[in-house]
Amino acid sequence: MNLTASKNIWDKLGDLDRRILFWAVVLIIAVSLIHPLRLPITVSERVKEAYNFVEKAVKPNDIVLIDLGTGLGPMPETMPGLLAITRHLMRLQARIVFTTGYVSPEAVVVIEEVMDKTLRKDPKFVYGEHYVNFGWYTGGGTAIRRLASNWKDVFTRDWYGTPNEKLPIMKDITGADSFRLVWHVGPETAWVTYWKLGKRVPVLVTYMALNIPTWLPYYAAGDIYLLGGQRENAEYEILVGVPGPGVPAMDYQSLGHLFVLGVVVLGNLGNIRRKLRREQQ
Amino acid sequence: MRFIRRDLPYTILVVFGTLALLSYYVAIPAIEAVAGTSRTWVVVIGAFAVFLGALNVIRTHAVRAYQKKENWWLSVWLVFIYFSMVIAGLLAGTGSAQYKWMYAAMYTPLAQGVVGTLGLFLVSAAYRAFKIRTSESLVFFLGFFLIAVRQASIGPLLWPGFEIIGNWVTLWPSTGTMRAVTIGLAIGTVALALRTLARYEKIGLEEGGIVGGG
Repeated sequence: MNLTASKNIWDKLGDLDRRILFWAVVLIIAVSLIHPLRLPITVSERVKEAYNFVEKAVKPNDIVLIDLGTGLGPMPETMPGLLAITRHLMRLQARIVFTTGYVSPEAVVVIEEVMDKTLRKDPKFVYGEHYVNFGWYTGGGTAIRRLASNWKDVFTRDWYGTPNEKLPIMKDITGADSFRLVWHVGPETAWVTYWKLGKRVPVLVTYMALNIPTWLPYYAAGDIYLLGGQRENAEYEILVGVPGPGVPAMDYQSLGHLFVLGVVVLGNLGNIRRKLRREQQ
Repeated sequence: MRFIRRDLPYTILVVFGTLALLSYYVAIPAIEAVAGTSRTWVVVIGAFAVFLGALNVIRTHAVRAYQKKENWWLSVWLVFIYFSMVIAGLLAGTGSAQYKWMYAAMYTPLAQGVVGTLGLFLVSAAYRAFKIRTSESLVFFLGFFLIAVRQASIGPLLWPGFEIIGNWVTLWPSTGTMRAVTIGLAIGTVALALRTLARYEKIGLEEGGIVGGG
């Protein structure tokens, strides 16, 4: 008996060609980009915690450090949160310092994009006084520790070459004690070790959903506030109340997840049917 | 020669490693000052290492292109793009529109395309990996199902229980497992550091030979 010739729909579901899956995902993303469904989004407790903390903790003129520990790749997931956070801090009239310890200086381009879309659009925020981009540092955890104890050991000038003495904001920055909080986008746990546990500076973390399990022990221990993946970044966007790229992106993420779950379930049903048929034969 | 290539680097490693370790546990200002200065050196050495890395990339690919090894034209392309970025950064500045355009129009779509392609492969991998054949694979599938539904904003709208159960999986089994991994890694790192300081570990200073007291 030729089994290949007698393949029914269940057999096919249990053994779908990967190209069909790829094209289906592309189609789902394309359709939801062209025709946004505006699926409703609920805000989870973890995001409310982070938002409420920032809302209460940050006062006008407080200095907040935004550090990027990741490059351009994960930005579709993390950029919405990054923009929303910067806008939130601007509304609270905080002063913002940007740095990046990512292995490649491409993260500086992300910082530029964030500043272009937020701070540089508002004339009330003056570069050097209300915000500054220190750019890229090397040395990973060691540099983060040095930043905590003496900022000038790592940065003597900003990314554009302006010496610290000519940046008004630097009158108030010596080390970790000068900052109200750190917002880290990435996987670098040295921020918790040296800034939160060492200097008692609150740390908030945003990263890809894929890498969130790495941060969970720190979140469960109360060491950090956490925004995990595209969904929670979009939720922060909703709380800040300024439309951004996160909420529309949730359409295709939701549909994509449902599709994957659907094919996995159907694939399993196909397998079970095939198994039962073999047993009957 | 052996002293320069092997013993001196080890001596530096042992001295500064011990100082760095001591500065965590002993509150002696002199030790903290020396350890602090050495940490600043790490930052400077890190910057030099990046420069050396860049030189090495250029050298490797220039040699590949010169010797016309397989796909040598890709090496030529790499060197061309490398210098294009360097020249644009030096002449126009890294905050300039030209430099930002090169990143936004050339590098960003490629970098995000690579991560996006990973998503497609994950779909295919999920389809194949989550076939329930044993009780263990059923647990594996359930974990995937609950987290995938929870991470999609539509999940809690379909049934609020998805949020509660998804959070439970995240906060208890997942966190517990990661905590064990994190603690295990930390203990392993301490053990590795101690073995390295005691010269029981091979750290790449020697050619082919095993170093240490054994």
